[in-house]
Amino acid sequence: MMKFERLFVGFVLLFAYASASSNEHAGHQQEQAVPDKHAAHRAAMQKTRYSATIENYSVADVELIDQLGTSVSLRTLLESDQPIALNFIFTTCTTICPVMTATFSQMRRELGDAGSELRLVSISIDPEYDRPDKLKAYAEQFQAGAGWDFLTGDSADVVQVLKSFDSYAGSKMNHQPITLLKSPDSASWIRIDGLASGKDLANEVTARLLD
Amino acid sequence: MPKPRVLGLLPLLAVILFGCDSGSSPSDSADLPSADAGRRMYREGILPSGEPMTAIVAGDVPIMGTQFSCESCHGRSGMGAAEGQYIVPPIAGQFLFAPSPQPKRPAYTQESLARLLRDGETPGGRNLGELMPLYKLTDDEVAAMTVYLAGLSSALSPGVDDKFIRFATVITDDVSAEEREAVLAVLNTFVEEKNRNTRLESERWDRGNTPASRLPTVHRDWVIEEWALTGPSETWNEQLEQRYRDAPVFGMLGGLSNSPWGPISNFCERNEIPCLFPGTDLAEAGEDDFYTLYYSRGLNLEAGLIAHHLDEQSVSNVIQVFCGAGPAQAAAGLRGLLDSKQVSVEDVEFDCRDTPPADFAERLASAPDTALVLWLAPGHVAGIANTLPSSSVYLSSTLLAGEFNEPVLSMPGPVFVAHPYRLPGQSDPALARFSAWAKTRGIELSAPRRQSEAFFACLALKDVVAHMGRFFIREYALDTLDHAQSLVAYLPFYPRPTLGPQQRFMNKGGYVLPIKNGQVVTDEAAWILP
Ligand code: HEC
Repeated sequence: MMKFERLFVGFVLLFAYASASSNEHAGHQQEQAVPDKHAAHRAAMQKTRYSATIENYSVADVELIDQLGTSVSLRTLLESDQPIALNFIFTTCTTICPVMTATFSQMRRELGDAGSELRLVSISIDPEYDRPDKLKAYAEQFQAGAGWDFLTGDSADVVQVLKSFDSYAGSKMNHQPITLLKSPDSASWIRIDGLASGKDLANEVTARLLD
Repeated sequence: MPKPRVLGLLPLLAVILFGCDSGSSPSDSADLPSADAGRRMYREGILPSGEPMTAIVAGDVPIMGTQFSCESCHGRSGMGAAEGQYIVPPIAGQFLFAPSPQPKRPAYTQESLARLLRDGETPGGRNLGELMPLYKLTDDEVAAMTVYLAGLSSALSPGVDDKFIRFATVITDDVSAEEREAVLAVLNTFVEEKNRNTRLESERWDRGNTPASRLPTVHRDWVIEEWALTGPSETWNEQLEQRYRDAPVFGMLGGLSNSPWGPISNFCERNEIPCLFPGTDLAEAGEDDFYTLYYSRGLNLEAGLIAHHLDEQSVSNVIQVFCGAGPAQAAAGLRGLLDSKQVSVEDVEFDCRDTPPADFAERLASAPDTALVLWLAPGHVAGIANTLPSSSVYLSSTLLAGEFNEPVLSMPGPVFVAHPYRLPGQSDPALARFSAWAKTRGIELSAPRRQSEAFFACLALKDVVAHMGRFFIREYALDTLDHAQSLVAYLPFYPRPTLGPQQRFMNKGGYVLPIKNGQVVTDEAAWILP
């Protein structure tokens, strides 16, 4: 049973955090270490909100399907002559995904007409649940509109996509906020790690893709 | 309806809302904003006015409450969650309205809660990270939220006292004695062992010298009892209510029935009781149901797989043959799916004690674009296999109980089996682990799927209980499971399970496998998510 329990260290920490805030100590050994760990988390959340790096990726050559059930060659889509902004989400993700999706919307609003060429792509990392009907409802909830594809597919293919973007975190629950930008004139990608604001993203897109 | 758990909180609320101490608290609870309004804001993101809440997140991103709400991040229980590097703190009343040492801040009041929700500043003077939205709220709206948060997860759930946490396993009288005993042996053995292993810990508290060792133990002995339901399913609710009144349980663990599980899950939903992983092939859940977690949709999932496969054939008529409540439900499900595709469906229902009628065989022979769906157990399939013409035949892996043998395999036409499980012949480490566990305990594997499912339910529960610590709150248990994706490695039989908020069926897909020359063919098996 030990192995089984070790998988849940994250939860133990969370529980410990809960106890610490209520000034109760359950007497678990793990708790001693917690305040520091938590401080580290918090520091990570509060330091610069994002970083941008240039990366070279070889996009996985897979067929995915969009929110309307149409099949899509990912490589063809991403290597088209449009600038691309891509992120990874899942519709039942509770914390960062809805924020990332809303941020994409806001980025488009910030860009206005200048961004009309920009193609938004959100790929679900929970393809078993996020079938096209779920993605379509999600897109509507966030008023995504035209030019924004929500993609899902076979789980093995999605894992391949994540790995090809060096974004595979094992479990969907370890999901990190990552935005990937690509100009049609360049083979490389701009990788944005962290929760950027809508304006930050719009500025990055303007400076790196549209100028 | 959730019970208003606010009344006992009046003195606390008076302090939070009016800044006065309990000695001079207003005696009339009508002065308090309603917790219902707060609940609607918390869960659905809707203001008392009926308008969606509005907020700004990540610096400049406008959002609406209908896109995501407090519950999305802080959980139904308000006990918080961790996702990746992000930690969402607990905000249930006992945390919020008490000082916190880490990160250090005094207790919230309604006023400081308003400042936090609007400007992101904690009473400790810290500004929150970019993930917590800043809301536009009136004072009255903050007051309603305050009342709701003060009551949220404020009391331990029923079914727990300072020694025991109680669970029920529901078993209906259409389950064979053999299966019932096989599954109860797993549950009882697991629980006995679990209690034996934690007994020392429950006795250890109050022995040490540190303040922590003087706190009451978080360990509870588990009590699991069988709730046997008898008679027609319309009477189950009353039986369940009676058992629950006699001795409430914290949750339901496993369970067994050959009839639709709907009435039991409705009972759980109404009484807000977690119903963890019942052994049923007839799962039923409403769109917004929260309390029952199933392995899969069962036979309805198979119906979906068959409908999906039929889509790719040129079939315009389907004849379904079935007996019994479960297969009847599956057949109704398939009919519903095919109706919208202009496929005509004919049902042939018979009494399970008889052999299936064979007169439809002639009609089949004369209509080549007709497929036959046999919602039948192996014995019944054997009874008609040699009378069938060469039309396509679809079978249910669940009803065949994985027996893809002789009579089934030797039909004249193409044969397919809907199979929402791991491929035959594929390794199943979770099943192997369970089998080893059972063997060393002398438990015979007479119902391996149900038994190993029950074992998984126990493992999941053990983890959840450990994670809850001293906070024995049902919604916290379910929030915890929603984030326990790593548990799925321990699930036998089902190949691609996922857990998550709003996801109430772990396994969502399956295969339709051809049977050729007496063999199930798995080479080109495609995973279908209907
Ligand atoms: C997108 C996710 C998200 C949503 C939606 C959200 N929160 Fe939060 N909330 C957080 C995070 C993350 C923190 C911790 C931020 C930090 O500590 O820097 C937090 C912190 C808080 C705190 C401070 C707790 C403390 O101990 O100081 C309160 C109170 C709170 N949230 C209440 C609410 C309420 C009420 C709602 C709905 C109106 C809500 N939150 C919606 C993510 C969210």
